Amino acid sequence: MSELSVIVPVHNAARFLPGCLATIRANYRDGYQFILIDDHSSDATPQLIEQAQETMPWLTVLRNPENYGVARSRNRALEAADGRYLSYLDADDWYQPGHLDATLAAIKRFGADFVRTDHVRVDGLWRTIVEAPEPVRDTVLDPRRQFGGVGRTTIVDYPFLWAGIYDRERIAPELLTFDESLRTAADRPWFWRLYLNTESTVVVGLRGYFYRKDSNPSALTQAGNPSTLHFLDAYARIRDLAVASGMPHHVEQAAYGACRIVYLHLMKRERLSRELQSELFRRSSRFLNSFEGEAMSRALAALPFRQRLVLKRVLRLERS
Amino acid sequence: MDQVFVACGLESAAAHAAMIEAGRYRTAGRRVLLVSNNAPIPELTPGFDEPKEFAAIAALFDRVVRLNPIIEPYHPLVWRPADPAVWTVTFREALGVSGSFGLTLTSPTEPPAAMLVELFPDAPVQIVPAPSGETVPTPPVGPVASVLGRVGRLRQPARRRLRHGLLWLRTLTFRPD
Repeated sequence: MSELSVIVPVHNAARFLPGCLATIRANYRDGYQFILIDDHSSDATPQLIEQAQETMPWLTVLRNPENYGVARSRNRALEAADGRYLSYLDADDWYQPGHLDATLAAIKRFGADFVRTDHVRVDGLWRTIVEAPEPVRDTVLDPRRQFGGVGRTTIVDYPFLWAGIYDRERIAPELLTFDESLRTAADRPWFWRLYLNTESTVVVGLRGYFYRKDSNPSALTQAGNPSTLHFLDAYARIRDLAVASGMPHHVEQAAYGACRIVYLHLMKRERLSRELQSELFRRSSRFLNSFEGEAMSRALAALPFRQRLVLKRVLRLERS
Repeated sequence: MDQVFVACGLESAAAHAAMIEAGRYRTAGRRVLLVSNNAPIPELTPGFDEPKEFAAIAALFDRVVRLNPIIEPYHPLVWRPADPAVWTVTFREALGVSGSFGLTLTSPTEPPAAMLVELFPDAPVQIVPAPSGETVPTPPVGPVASVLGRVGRLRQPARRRLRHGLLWLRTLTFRPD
């Protein structure tokens, strides 16, 4: 039984793996379990992991027999995790030495269900401190009260799994698994469900996680392809969670988030083919129309004029 | 007057050490070596001051201070002091210098040394070229013109040898009058 399990999903990450293994080595302690799950990489990843195992025999290594995608990989790793506390690391990111110790100490000090942290975004040599969007620090908060409604971004919409640590003795196991049908943005509904179903959370000012923004292939900044549209599935899941909660302001917040992400994708539509662009318009319209009218009106009212104008036209496309 | 030496690698640290051994800083007050780890990911790369052999060089200074923790989480090659007044105080505290002090650098136009030149406009600047290609692949930044204005007399190049006889250094000093 470990104290802390850290899940590291790896897919064709040979370029970053030496750094990843170095940060694991530097942060390893007795009682820490690092689970590397190789999602059927086709590059030198398996060999690099094998080499690392010689000097780091304490690594837990899993390899998927085929490409599972990140959600299913995380779920599989979760089954192998034996730590009370759980955290995540992406293969292209790294920790400040001592960051895991500090994060673990924080969740033990507060005894909360989960703890969230700031982080540093890295773009080449440039680094930016990204604060978790919650001004109240070092205080136990009720997760269900962290939904801010329309007009602002709250910590519920701070979708960084690795900027946090989770207590598996206090959080129901089914809350920690990921929806395997989602190919992108599975973390977003994951956090919604977590915040809707847990009792305590704390935000601490630790920022020892270095997140490499420039290498994320699923990021909005990257080239578009048919799977780009899968973001709609994740946001539909958020809508369902909000509706099921029975709280009107949750639905409004979900509608507001949906509007913002649709607008963002529309602004970047040039990277998609013509067919995908019209598909994006059609499916976005259908999705936005699936929200209850009152909630959508409130969400639209909270948006800047230009965005509201664009989204109203999108809504008209498929209005039944 | 205290003297702050800035080194971004073993070679520039050795160059500074050779200058001290040659007796150039006999009259200086405290000698502080500021070391910078300029690796792409300093968090994952051991600094050149970490091996225990570095003690021979460190022994020539009253204090060795690491730059990276001072400016954390920023990278030394692109860090800019946003609020100079605050950073001046931070650096004085970290370096342990109070009054006026001099700066010895391997290049006044390359970061992070250029930032110190900018932060402390009254500090006289001396330049000791690093013996070989340790320079960083970034374009010169910082106040080149104002540094030149602070350069006084050009000293004749002198040859000095490091204690262990491994490294020949060409040293060139600029001193304000």
